[in-house]
Amino acid sequence: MDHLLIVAARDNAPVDYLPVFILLLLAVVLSVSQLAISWLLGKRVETNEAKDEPYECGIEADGHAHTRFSVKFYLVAVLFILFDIEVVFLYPWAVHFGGGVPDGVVFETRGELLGFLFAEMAVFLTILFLGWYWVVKKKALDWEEA
Amino acid sequence: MEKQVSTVFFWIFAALIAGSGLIAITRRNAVATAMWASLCFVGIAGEFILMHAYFLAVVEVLVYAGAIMVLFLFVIMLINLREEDLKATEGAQLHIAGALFSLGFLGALVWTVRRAGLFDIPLNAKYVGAEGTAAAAAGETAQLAVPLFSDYVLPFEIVSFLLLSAIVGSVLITKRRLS
Amino acid sequence: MNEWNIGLAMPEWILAISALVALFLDARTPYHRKEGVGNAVWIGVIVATLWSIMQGFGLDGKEYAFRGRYGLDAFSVLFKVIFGITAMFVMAMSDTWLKRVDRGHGEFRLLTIFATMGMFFVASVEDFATLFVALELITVSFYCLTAFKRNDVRSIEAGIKYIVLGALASAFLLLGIAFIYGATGSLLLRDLASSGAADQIGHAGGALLQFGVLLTLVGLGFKIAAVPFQVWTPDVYEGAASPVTAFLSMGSKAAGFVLLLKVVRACLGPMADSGLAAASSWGALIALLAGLTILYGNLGAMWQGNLKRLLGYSSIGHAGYLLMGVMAFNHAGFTAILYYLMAYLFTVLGVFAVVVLVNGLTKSHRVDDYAGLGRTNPFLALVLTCGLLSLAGVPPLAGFFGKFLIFRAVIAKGTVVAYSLAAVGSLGVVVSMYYYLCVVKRIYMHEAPENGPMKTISGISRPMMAVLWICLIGIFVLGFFVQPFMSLAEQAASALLAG
Repeated sequence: MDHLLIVAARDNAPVDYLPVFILLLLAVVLSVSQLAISWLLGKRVETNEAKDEPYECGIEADGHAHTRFSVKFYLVAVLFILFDIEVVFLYPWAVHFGGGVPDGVVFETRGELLGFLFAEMAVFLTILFLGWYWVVKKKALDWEEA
Repeated sequence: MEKQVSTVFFWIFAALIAGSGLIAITRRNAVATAMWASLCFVGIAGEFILMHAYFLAVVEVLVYAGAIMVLFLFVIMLINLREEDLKATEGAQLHIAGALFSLGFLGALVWTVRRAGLFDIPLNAKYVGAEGTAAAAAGETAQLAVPLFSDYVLPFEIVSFLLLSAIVGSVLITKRRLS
Repeated sequence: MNEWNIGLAMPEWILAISALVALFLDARTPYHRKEGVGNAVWIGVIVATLWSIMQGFGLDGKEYAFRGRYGLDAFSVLFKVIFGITAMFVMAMSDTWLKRVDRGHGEFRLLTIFATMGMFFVASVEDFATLFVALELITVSFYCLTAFKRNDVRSIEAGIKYIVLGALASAFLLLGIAFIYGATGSLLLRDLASSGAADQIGHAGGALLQFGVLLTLVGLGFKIAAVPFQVWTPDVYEGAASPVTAFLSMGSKAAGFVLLLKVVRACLGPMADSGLAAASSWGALIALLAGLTILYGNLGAMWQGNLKRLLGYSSIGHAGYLLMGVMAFNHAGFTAILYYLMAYLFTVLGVFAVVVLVNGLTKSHRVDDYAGLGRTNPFLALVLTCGLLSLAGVPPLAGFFGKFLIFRAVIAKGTVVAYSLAAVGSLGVVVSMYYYLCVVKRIYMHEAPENGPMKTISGISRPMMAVLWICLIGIFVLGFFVQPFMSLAEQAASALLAG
């Protein structure tokens, strides 16, 4: 195991978790309070089988409320994810580019490093921009076309 | 003191992952499965935060719990399986075989980790590989960014073609009319 | 080694640029005019292959690019040429096949060149990150190509089976890579080979590494269709369009073997005699997988009435023979694998070229519908027969020599495991002889039904004719003139073992 370099975690005081606690607490309070308020203020109505029907009187409902979705929603979702993943790469790149990293790791000068970083992201984005152009030209995002 | 806090959180998130994962695979309703799975992803994101891998935690929530789960829900609604369609796929032998395989895999995993002595490492320890050491001081996201955008620039650029291939493929299969 | 040396990857850049040009042209051209896309892809693959050959002549040992994350040696050059030729043959077949389909001509060619690009990168892989991304580039392109016929239930079924099992295999591969990284602290294959970590694979104490290597082999075993990761093969081979099946059976399988050989090489330690080779349990494990794969593939093929399913099972069987060569863990075994793959290239692509042409006429892949092919299309029947006999390993065709080298390398090991594996392999050869000859009998001894669709096929395109002739000649040349190709394979195997 000697090649494993394990560094103990930075000193984390319990107070570091305070924002997380507050957020968690807020989330719980918000959701519980909304349920509670509607339960407290809402009008209590007795339910029975007839009340649960979509139409209390009239023709009985037939079939399933769920309908099959058109596949075009799916296409939009897939394309969203693919470009979403592209954008995810931009974040660590921006941190690197913005100078969150000490110099001299790979390149001698900061200028070289920035030039390299800029070039590689430009290539990456150009390739995907061409993909986007292709998608638009194929009318894949055109809602009217199936 | 701080060690106990992160240990407690580790176990909370671990229970969340294991519990929601187990519930997810035993639901009959596919939408319920997807919802429990997204809870599982949140737990994983929590573990990443405990390891100070904030970027991975954000990606886990943004891409997995967010985008990919939405995609799953779309697929579920596209297929729109009814209860009676599900009956056809029931098979006790398949379930037993799957359970046996999973348990065997879990056993192998635990045996390996125990054998390698990984249980002795404190839970809040941070792993810094040989390549990350130089950037270790510069924050967790940068620690990922330095190798990714220098030594691993080749796989990074191949990823753009991987995404391109997926874009072309998804349009090809999904669209009825290709202009 | 710390140079960027970006020009070394010129074949890949050529493919990338031609893929982008093709993408741009596909976006700009109306649906019936995709010749420009086809031309861009053709030019890209041809120039990239020629460039690789040129690089092979000027090569001095092993050269690196991207600070040691991309390597070029005789082994990678050999495979880039194999992948280039495969892509050209497949493109000739798909040009013929696409005439029968009225959608997605541009997309088909784009996905073909993306997959080819992934294969070129795979041949130069030096670390696990590039390995995974390049392999996924191939696999994702194949998922889409498999499901290409979106109105055909079988094609969609094949696509779903392939993507679900493929994703599972990728997960195993990733987990394996994570374990290897955890054990060695590096993603580089040569660090695995040189750090002394490889020695631990054979011994207790290297539990992390052992488990990582095992999972990596599971992930790669899926790509090469080895038992017990083979279930997808017959269905996917049957459901996918014939040119895609041809591409899968040669390109995807060879890419899997490139990576398998690279990982196995890294696990052999600095002198290529420790690690996996030193531990008899690993040899026995791979021998077991090879034996099961041979038996499953060849026995399964016996009952098939559909030629593409038959070829799917036979492809599993061939993965078993190739695994036999891996099990030898030495120069002779690796040379045999490389020779076998060269022979397989001409053999299997020749067979699929005929399948594409005959299917255009009969709209069927049933073996029974090949009756009368010998009378109506003597040339196609000849190519198909030679291909099938070469697959079976009949001397003096190309396939025979590949099998001969594999068996020789295994028997030279001299262990009980090696002898039993050779015995199982011979049983497989005998069985395969039966079902290949059944098809040959159908071609020559049976008459085509009176009003059946079988008649003379005319208007075979020139590239397709060239593919048929090159495959036919290749099958004989690799059987008769062994020496030049043998020395190529030997050089490549030496380069692989030199690390």
